[in-house]
Amino acid sequence: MSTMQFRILVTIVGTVLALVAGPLNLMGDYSLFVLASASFFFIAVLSVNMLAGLCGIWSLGHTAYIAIGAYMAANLTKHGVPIEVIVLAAAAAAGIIGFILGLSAGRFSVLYFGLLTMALALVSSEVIMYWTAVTNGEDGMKVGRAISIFTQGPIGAKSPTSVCVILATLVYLLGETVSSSRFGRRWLAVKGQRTASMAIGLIPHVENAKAFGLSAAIASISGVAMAFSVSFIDPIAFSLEASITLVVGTVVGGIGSSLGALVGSAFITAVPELARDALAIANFIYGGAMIAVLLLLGKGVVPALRDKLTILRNKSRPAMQVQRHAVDANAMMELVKQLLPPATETLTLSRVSLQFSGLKALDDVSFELPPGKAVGLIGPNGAGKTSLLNVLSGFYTPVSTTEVKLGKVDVLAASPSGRAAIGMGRTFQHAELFPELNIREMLVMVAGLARPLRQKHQIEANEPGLVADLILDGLELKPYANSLPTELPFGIQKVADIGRALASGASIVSMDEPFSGLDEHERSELRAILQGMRNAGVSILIIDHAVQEVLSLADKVVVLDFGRLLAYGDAEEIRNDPAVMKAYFGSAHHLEAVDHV
Amino acid sequence: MTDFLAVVISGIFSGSTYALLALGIVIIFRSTDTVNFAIGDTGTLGVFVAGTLIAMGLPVAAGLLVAIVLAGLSGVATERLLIRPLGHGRNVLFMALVITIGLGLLLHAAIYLLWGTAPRPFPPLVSGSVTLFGIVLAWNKILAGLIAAAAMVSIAWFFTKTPFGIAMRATAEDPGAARMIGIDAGRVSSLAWFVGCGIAGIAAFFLAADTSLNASLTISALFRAFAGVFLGGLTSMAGAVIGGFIIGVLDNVAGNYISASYRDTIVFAVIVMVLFIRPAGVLGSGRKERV
Repeated sequence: MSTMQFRILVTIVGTVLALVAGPLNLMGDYSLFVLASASFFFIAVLSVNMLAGLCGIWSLGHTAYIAIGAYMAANLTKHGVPIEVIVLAAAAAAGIIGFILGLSAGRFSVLYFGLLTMALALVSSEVIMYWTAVTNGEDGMKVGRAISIFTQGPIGAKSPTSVCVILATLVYLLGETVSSSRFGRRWLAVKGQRTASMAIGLIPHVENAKAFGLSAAIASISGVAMAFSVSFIDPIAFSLEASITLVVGTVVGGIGSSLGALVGSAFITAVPELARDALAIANFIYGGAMIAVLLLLGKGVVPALRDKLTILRNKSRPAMQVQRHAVDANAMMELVKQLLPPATETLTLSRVSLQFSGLKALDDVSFELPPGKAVGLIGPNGAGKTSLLNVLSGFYTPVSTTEVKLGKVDVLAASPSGRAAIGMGRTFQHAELFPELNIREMLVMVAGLARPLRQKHQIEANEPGLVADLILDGLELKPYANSLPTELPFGIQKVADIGRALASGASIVSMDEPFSGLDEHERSELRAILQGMRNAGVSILIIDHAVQEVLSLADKVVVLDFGRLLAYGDAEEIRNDPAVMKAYFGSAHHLEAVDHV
Repeated sequence: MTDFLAVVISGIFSGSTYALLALGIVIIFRSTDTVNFAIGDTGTLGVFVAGTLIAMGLPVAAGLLVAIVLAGLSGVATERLLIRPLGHGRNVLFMALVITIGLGLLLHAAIYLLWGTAPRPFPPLVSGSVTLFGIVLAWNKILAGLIAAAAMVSIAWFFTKTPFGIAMRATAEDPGAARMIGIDAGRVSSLAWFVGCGIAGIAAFFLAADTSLNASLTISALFRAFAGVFLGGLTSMAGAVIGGFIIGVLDNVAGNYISASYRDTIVFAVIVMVLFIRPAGVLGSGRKERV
């Protein structure tokens, strides 16, 4: 069944359930209660599940947002506000609070979210306890009948369950849409490769905060549904334990899966119903189930079953054999010309110095990368090559006398994420592709980020899907379009990494060891790719240990040794420079002998 | 002024518990990249067993020892049985975090099932109080502070002076290199979990002596310990300890002078503000991330 068909099926089931529970009046009170609980738990688990799946962030404080929804519902209904408005208002309030909290924790490791949200749960309990004017404190609060715009008055006595089911269905569709949208893909990129995501222009903590805000907004809708269907707010529903129950639902059902959220919410609805008299037993089952699922299945019931099915299906299908043509330099040049503006400005590095508490990693290094040229950067291990690249990408901050300019633009003033916008890009030694995006999804997402840049340079091919397909065609990656990076040979991953740099619209590309880990065939293809890029006017800075490759490709070569500029000139000069030979061999041998170091 | 001094001093004494828990969290995080959410419940379990033995006639001081060793051993078992089998994949960090949340639920539920939900009385290590500069301080609190200080000093000594302690720090810095020079990473992890959970046992013991023995003993202290970790960073032991004390004082000052009801909220607001203003933490140490 395709994803689309599945979504339609869920929508139909949701609509039928809503009709059965409400207008058709076919359900008893107990089944209405269970259906309503499962629905609002589903919304809540989905909000936690999305956040864990798309961002790797575990929230222990989502009951705080549910509380926002519930208490807003109780208080606003008193003033005759219709439920439709309440849902939007609660989502907005929770979303804004979530976004702000997300910004504060998102700058650090996602682990800090766990700590911060645990604190949030405790704080919300305290606020509920003492802000009695709004919450009525410990005693809890009665909720009036919801008012709807459609009925122009209170809805029927059995309708709240219908409302819960409808909200759950809408939230499901929203979750599915967001997950497969460019936003969901950006979040997966940040989750998988924080560094590489910055290189294509994403700001990780802002992306985390957006996701956190959206998740908070969804959780608050669960609170609205809960308030109207139970018609009484019990503060215990917003305790730290309740928050943890949502994590249980996420883990047991399956992380990053809407269907998993459904299974998980069914689980946390059923267990307390079955273990009615002993809360401790319910917690015992929760804790045990969570540990067992993680240790035995790894990622929850639904994804584990799906993997099983995929393996079975693949067994019956012969492994895909791919005949791939190598890219040649001319085709590459044509491709690049379609996608990128030629570089027009010189990248000037002057007096670059970098210090790690006492250790001088880079000492007064200056050179230029003229537009459309290739500069090679070589030097023995520890010479400072990667440090220099990290200064260019903005991951290291050099000492204040350093100047790096692209034409007149001060590169160092731009954040790591801002450097993509001025046309700078990079590739990685280990490719660092986004593990949860297939190759085409990655290219579309990156091309989407680069769209303004392309429009600015009046490049006709700027529609993300089109850019992605051009790159897939041009780099002969079409057979791998739907593959995840881990399914691909390393050489292909590195070609895809170059594809990502092309998609990002970068006309000045720094490449960290592009030749490392490649066999002879792959090397010769890479040579063609790089020549094609340069012929199309891309400025390239290559850092590599494969000295011969660098010398034959680069217009100018920079040699670093112990952080200092040892030599700077064209390939022929470098080949014969005694100081360079000494750095490599300790004596004056000829550099021709150096390769595959 | 005397009042303020009293509030600060009493804050420092409460802070010693948070500092201990924070230190336990950091020691475990440094060794296995796991934020152990079950650390409070592990300590509580140890104290419940100790409390039962004390009720049967065991001297209180021996009870403290029992609590430490039991909590420590539970920690070792947790690492061996639940954390190590996860291996070293990409998502292990998050799985480990969630597993400890699950373990916390299990331990909490187990305590309820074995000892019931009603809080039990718990004897202090020493009784009576003393008046210093017009401030009344319970001997038990003072002793708790001294034992906490002694524990911190011996941990500092262990990590800076003993070969095995230095080896543990080396492993935290670079596990691969540590393995190459012959450090047994498994033993290092076990010891870190023993020490981390053991000092949580001390913290839980004095929390129980301060109030009563109940399953939710450590929840609010753990929240404050996490706040301390926020201030000091997840990888700095000194930062965690200082952060724990700062939170203790802050919490007490806020509770006495701003609002007794909204203590958690004020601590929380301060953390969020600190994160905005000084992302590197109050103590300014770099935040080394291993994610």
